[in-house]
Amino acid sequence: MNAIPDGVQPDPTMMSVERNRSSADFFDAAARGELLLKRCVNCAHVRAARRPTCRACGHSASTGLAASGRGTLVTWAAHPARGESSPRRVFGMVELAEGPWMESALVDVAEDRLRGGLGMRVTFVSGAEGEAYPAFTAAD
Amino acid sequence: MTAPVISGFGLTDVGKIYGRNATSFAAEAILLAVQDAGLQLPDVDGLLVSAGKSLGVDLSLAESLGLSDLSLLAQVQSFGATAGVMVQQAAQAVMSGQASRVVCVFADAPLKEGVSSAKAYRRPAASGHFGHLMASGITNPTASYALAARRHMETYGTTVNHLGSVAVSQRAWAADNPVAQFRDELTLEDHRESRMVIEPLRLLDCCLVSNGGAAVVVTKADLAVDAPHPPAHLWGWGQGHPGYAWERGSEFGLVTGAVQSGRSAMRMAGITPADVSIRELYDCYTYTTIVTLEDYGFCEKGEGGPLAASGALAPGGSLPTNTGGGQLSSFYLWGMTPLIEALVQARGAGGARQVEDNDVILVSGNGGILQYHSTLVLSPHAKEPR
Repeated sequence: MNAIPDGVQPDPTMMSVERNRSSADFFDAAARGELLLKRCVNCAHVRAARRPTCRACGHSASTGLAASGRGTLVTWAAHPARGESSPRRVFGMVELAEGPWMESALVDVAEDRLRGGLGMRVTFVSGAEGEAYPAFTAAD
Repeated sequence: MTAPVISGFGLTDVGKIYGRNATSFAAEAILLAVQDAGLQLPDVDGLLVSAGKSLGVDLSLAESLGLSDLSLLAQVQSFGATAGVMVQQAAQAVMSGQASRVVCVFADAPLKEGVSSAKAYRRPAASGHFGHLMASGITNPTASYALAARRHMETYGTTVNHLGSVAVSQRAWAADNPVAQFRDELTLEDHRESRMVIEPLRLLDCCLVSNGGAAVVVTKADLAVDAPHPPAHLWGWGQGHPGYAWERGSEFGLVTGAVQSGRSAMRMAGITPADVSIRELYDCYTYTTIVTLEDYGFCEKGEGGPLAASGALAPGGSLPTNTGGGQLSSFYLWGMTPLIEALVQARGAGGARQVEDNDVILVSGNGGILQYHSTLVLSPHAKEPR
């Protein structure tokens, strides 16, 4: 049984994601409703959880940091619908308030609102199976 | 005369060629290139090998071809920038005396009969952070290029018709290229109505997928004087790998490694963008042609789209670009696509599509998601001593 934050309903049209050893902390955080980042132990530069090393100083050691969940949209694109089981899927690059960029599914956003700089906030989604994972929606 | 030249090249049948593996394409391309250079296999003392996505060729190619006592042998991987990187390494090897005749080869066979091109590069399902990346929408390279293209479009006002103009211009060149996979005339309407692959990129914004192989022979000018064909002289080269930050301040989608790579190559060649007669640019997507034109300085930043729409890139235009049709219309063998067309043009062998002024030809290679870039400057003429 995977832990999913309160209110997240599995959505069979979203892709399912399984955890592995190197992502366990990230998905544990997602299950608590947190977007986990890494903060470099050496220089405190903040990076996305999937980045193995710090690009500011090259060190690998890090501590976890819960993101504020706020960000702005950098760019976006969309997979067109491919039949009923695969509806149109909008995705984008979000610049987190902490600085790192994150590729993300964009959910529950009117597409005509999408533009660079649009305020975004994190939400959590899940496929039919597997882990809950972060996605973004418009901040207001 | 230690100046490096490309004295021969070979291109196999390309496209939906089934029943052959990458090694077979590589071997044929090498034989064609060596013969074209007026050489025999034992004359070769260096081999640089590049495999595409199907990873079908490696160092064992040397033994398979009976190439013995090589003084240079390596597999090179800079993705779409590889062809240019290989030629640069080969040029340095012949200039230093490490090797005298180096063959650079690329071959790939991702297409399988009865399987669509879209599935040729499909990634398997993944877990962990990579699984999350895919679930976020980054399912293939086109998804990332779609993000890059959108950022360019939003920032600079690049339009769907600007992208379409690249496709239309290059198809017009392909019409006169007998090896091009697509030669029928294309209109902006055809482009606009082509299937959306990943918005904003349509089918006619995307390169082909091809099976085939290509090879070139790099040597010194004085070793090529008796070659059957006049060589292409390597005037300059460069690389630029931006190392995008993927964080606040990143120029992803707006500026590429072509800035740094082009500056180095043109400085070595002693030229400016205004001196370039022909551009052979890596065009994995229509957007890539536009952003690369800007970054090399053929127009101001953000003006690549209007430049394409002006017709300047097309046959008869002021800036002939991708004169064989490029990866969009002719064939897709990574960086060998622009390089082979550059060599055809340098030799004056372009037939109906030959550009009259072929004095200076710029070739680009672009790999990853705009992460790796190489540039070559070629000419039918020896570089004047400076």
